[in-house]
Amino acid sequence: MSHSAGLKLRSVFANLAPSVAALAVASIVGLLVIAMAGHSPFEAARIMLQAGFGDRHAVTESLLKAVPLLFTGLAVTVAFRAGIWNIGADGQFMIGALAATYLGVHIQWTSPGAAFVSMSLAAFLAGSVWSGIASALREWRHVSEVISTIMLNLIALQLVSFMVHGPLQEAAGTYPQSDRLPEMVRLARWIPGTRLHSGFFLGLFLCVGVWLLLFRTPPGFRIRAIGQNPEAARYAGMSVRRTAVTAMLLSGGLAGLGGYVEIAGVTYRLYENISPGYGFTAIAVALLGRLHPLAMIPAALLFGGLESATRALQRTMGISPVLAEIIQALVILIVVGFESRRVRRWLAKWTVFFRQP
Amino acid sequence: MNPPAVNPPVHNIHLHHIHKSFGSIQALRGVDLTLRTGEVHALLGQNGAGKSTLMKILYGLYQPDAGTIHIDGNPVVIESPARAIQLGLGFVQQHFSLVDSLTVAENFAIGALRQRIFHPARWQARIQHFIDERGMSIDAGTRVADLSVGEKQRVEILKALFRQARFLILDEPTSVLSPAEVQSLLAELDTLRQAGIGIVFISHKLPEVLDISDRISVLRDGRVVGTLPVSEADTATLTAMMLGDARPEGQMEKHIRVRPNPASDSSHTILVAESVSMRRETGGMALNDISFELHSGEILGVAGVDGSGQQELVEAVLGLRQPEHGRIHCPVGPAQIGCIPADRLRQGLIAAFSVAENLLLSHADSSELRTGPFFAPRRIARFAQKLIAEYHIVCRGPDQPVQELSGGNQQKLLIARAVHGEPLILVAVNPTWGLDVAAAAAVHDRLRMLKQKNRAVLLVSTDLDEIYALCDRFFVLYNGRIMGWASPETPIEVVGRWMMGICGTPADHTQNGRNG
Repeated sequence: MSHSAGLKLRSVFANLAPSVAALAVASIVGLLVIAMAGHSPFEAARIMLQAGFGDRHAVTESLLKAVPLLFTGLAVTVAFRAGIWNIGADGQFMIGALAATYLGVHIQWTSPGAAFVSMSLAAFLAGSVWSGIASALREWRHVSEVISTIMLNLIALQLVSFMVHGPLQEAAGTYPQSDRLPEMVRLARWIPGTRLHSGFFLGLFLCVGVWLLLFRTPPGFRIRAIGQNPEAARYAGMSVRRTAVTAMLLSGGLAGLGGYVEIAGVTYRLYENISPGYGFTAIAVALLGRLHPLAMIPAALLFGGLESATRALQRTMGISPVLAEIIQALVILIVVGFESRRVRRWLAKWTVFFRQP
Repeated sequence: MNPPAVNPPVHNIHLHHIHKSFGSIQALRGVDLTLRTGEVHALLGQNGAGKSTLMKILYGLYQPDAGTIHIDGNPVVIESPARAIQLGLGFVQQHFSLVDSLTVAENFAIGALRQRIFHPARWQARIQHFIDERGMSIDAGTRVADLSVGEKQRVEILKALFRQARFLILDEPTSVLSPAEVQSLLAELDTLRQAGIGIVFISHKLPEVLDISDRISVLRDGRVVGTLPVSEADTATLTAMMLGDARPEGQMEKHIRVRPNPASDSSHTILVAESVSMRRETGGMALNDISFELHSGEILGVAGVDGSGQQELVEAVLGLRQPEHGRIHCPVGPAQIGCIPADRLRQGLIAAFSVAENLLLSHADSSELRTGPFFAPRRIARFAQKLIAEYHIVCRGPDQPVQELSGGNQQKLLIARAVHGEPLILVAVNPTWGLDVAAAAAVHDRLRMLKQKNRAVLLVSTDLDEIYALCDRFFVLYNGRIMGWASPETPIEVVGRWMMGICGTPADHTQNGRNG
């Protein structure tokens, strides 16, 4: 990944060319898969565009689907920038949702402000604790964070499952899910007639905040430095371990906050499948945004739209939503592939070839 | 299980007029060398004299720009290590090429297995037999990770012999060994010599060279200065050959001119190392009972060949590693200690970061470059531009990634960052590495300027000319110990001998400088 972005925003968008190219290739391959399955790729493309971005309702639904990806994408961005492969945003998201739900249904809230502050703080801290476990294992016991965060995802899933079957189960006791959150603690819907809630704007706000942190403040500079060359950072007098732990706590906290926003803005309940793999899609989002918090926004919106679009495909053409996952996987593989020097040289050669008169 | 194809017997290798350049640096300028089986041929020379380059050419890792290699009178082209192995050569490098997680026997199998089906038990028995035949006590079933450094080295040698090597190249084999291990290695080499193996022995350490070798070749500046039978060699001759006329008269006067002014009133002790001992990561002692005082307003030198413990000393002084024994007293905070590290791309710079960001690396917390908690990009750009101009860093501007800069300009950037802000202590490791003469002189001026401003400089350098030109007093590290203290008046021959581990120095020099 190129991190030469540095202090200038302009150079970042110049760096996005491989992402756009990767996306184009992934789309073509995705449509080819549809064609191979015996459907018309043109009809599919039309339906997807219509469902993803066709009208006001479609757009707000896509934005809504993008919200959890904004938070988990930021979480992945911060960790990856520090050179820490946090694959556990999914678990941190679930634990954040669990903590926020617990507060939301167990306390008689009297003001929405107090509920917002307490629940978001609890979700952030819970996510931090979850990533902090992996961080402590990494820094003091040399346990690979890739392994530990994946394991912690499974534990988080089981923990949520246990809670919604037991202590947190709805009073009715019918389904494995929590009670509905009272009106008071839900996030406000800002656009009448749509489900778009204030969590979307919180996500955008945090993207700007994390961008400022990473590219405009000393702590963020340290995070990027240890991610690029921990040895040089150490010789320059930075504490590599402290910075790594900070980055990981922030990463988990952001994912946890995403969990709060999801239950308080969309589902209003906690249940087992609260995350259909947001923490993993987040990796594709972060990589497509080339680990830049602002460039990540269009990537999150795009994957949000893709989510709506594939659902529409399933409804109208009977195409499996697995297709969305195929395209996500293709994007990751192709973005990573475009990073390789050989592919870049090859691309450069062909561009030159086309420029020849 | 057929043994690997038997190589025809080899009796001599002749390297003729070998030239090799890396960019503008001429590493080898017409080297002639003859190696014979059944003898130990030592290669001596300072850092950068061309020893390793020559051996890498012989082993097919580099291709010569010009020159030929003959084996038993037949011209050969060694285009790869695979070809070198086929020709009966074995190379034991300083960094072993063993797979830690595999057993000894499995390591033997890499590149030596001829049959399609691998039978682990039978293979291990065969390797064990091979090892036992040579009277060595290594269990072929042990994982390499569980071996000591000396044993790993023995495995490397055995591996080469197993591939029917007739010539063994050993690149500084004793630098990683304890004294007892060195003795047993030398004994083993003697056995190999009697078995008719030819051995190339690269070392900086004269006593062991004189102990084991049959013939000794000295390289200097990419040329063979001479080849002597051991009977005609002694430390004085060899040192003189290695150093050449390294110090012309004119420079001598300069040293006297920049001599210290010990009576400076404002000078005070700023850092004390008190019998510091540290372990190497691989086990042996890296530093052994090192004590010194660093004063403000002086440039204290640390001379010695690479790997004598400099790395560990620097990390201890910077507070990056705690010594196992002894202490470092330093009232100055880490923010006031600057550093020009030895390996600029590993320890000094972040290749993908821009020039400005790299300059920011050790000044990230400076309030002058911030407004509130945020960086002030324009002030940072101005700060970078100022240093770029002041230190003549050739680049497109503050935003250019450092990986696009030449090595010399990267080094200048590193120096700019370390010297800017005039830290109370500057630790400089080979600060002029990769710089041309003018740029190097500018760096030396900077260091003298720091000294005049009553700052303390610890100059760690493998370049004796640099030490002599800058330091008020210096000590020589050898195998993690202080061999002696010296000043620019100490004859360079004495210092050269210390660097190679020979004591026996005139007593009047050993204490020189301690009272400085």
